[in-house]
Amino acid sequence: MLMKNSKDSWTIPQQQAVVGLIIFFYKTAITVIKGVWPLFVVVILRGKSNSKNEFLWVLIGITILVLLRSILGFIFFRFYIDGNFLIIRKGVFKRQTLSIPLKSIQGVNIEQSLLHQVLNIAKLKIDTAGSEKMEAEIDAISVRKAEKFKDFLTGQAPDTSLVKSTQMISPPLIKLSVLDLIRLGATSNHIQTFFIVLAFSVSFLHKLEEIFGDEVINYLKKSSTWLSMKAVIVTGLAVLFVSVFVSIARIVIRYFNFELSEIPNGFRVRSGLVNTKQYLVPYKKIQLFSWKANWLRRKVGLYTLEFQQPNREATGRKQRIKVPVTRQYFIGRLLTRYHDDIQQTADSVHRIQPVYAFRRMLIPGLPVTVVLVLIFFPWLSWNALYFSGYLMIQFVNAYFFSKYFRLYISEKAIEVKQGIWGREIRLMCWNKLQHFELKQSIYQRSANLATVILHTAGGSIKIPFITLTLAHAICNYALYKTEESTKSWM
Amino acid sequence: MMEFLNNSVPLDLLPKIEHTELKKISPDYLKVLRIELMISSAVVFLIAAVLIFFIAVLQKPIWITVIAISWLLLSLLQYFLQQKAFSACAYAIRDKDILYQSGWLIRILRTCPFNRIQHSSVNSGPLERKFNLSTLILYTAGTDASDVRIPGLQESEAIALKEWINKKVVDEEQQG
Repeated sequence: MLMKNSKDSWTIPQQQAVVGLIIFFYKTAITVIKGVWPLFVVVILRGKSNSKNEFLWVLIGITILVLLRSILGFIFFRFYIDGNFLIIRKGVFKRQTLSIPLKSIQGVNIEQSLLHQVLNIAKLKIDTAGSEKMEAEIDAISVRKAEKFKDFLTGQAPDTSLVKSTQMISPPLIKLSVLDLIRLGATSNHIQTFFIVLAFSVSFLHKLEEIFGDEVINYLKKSSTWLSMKAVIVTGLAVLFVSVFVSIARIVIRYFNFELSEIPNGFRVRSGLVNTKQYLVPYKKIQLFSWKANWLRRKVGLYTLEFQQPNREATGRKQRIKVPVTRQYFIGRLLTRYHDDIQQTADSVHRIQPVYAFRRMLIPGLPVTVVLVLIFFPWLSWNALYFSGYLMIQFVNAYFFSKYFRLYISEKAIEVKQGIWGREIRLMCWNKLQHFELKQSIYQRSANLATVILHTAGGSIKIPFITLTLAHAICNYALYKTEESTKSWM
Repeated sequence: MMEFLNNSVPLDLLPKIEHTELKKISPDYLKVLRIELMISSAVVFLIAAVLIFFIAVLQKPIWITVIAISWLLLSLLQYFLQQKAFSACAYAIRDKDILYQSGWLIRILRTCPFNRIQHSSVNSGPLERKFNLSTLILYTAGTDASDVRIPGLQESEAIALKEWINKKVVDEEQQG
């Protein structure tokens, strides 16, 4: 049957795909399980044999409730087009009607989890502009319908930045191979992962403690008697090993099948092992372009590129898209869609004032050190003075920060290169500026220095400790550029 | 200074924020701030008193003195900082943008072009209303909650400003 993809064909209220019931069942079940799993553990581990029987009944009862809830949810869900609005009606006990002006639809994303893929259905996510909280999702519709509805919705939007046809997509610009993934995983920030793993284990212990009470603590106390140096080393190595493994796993899950392609007015990014996610990023919505690498990645030439879209007031969710870049060449290639790198072409290059390192050592270095020493003095007595090493760390870090910091200014854009061990480059076109701050501490006022922060609708650029004259020049020029241009920032 | 830009923009002729004359906000606002400080200090005092009353350890003269002195010092410090900070509060409305300066320990000059303002509002708390004062808040699409907010304006002035800015914003949009 040939379905016409016009407004009329969507005015009839539609239900979701019936196979989607499995998705709803899964979703509801997961929420229920998340809420009550500690209870299950307690019953299973502590229960007597006859209570297990009762437990089985409870389980069956819950299953039926979950099933009922998902069926009702399915029955009461409708979506259709009414006039210039997309209407979504849902809710079992609390009826809810979302009406979204077609004009305000900013983007339509199709997502597929593993389950979705198996069932050959998709989830449609509709992004809207506007300050009201309106996030529309259609959890389960057939892939064909999803594509069609997406085409229809994007066709309605006045925003020409959205893609209307999928045929014009050129072959992906960036694709990650398995080797790339392993390289990325091996070079990622293991210290960060280490802390995530640590935090996770601690919270896990807490959960266990809640269930079993003091037993866990007692057990740990007992076992700590054999806690020798050897055990510490072994545990440390184990956690490190787990961290490296987790880092790689995180990268693989996140960037498996990663693909970035250029569509007529934007980038299309898709990736994911378990959940396939797809994002459309219209070029003109990109506020700030940045790319960075930690020390290890810098050495092997791996960068993470990030383009930030306007934050959405309603959800407060940041619209950042991260792209792992395996070849330096890609950065320049992607930048052509925003503004070329200005490191070579800048009209002027500036640095932070060298006094920066010393001032950082004083504030926050000095007060933090004094507080630390005072706090630990009762236990460590004069050994607490070792905390003054923090002053050194502050100084060295700030020294290298100011040594490598560069500010590039050109007629159309401003760029900052910074980083102590790693590097981060942030590039902003002047017309993306929203407002700025010029900050001066008491010391800066006396030394005629200033810190400037330029805010865009997605991300900001901070330029610390420059001369007041330069700061004023930047501010005046920034205002001139934003006020004279009629070029919109979005 | 190093050459800033290598183009034909007459940098010297650009409007200069450093030469803009800033207008102080109403001195009544300092009164509002002081009353607020009095209230919060009183609350802290009450909490301290309750703690001393219920916790036996604290009922020694030495602790009571320490708590009392630190309370007094903190309140005085706040009073001092508040006065200093207030004297920095000033604003200016220029042809195409609005400037607001505040803070003493760290002085911040926030600037926002009219063509980036999304919406604006005039708020006033119960104390501010007593003195007929209002706060003008300008929202941009920018990150952080650091939108420009100007306190201590006469209510009528704030509303007039808001209206004037709204008109400006609309004009800018039409031009754009």
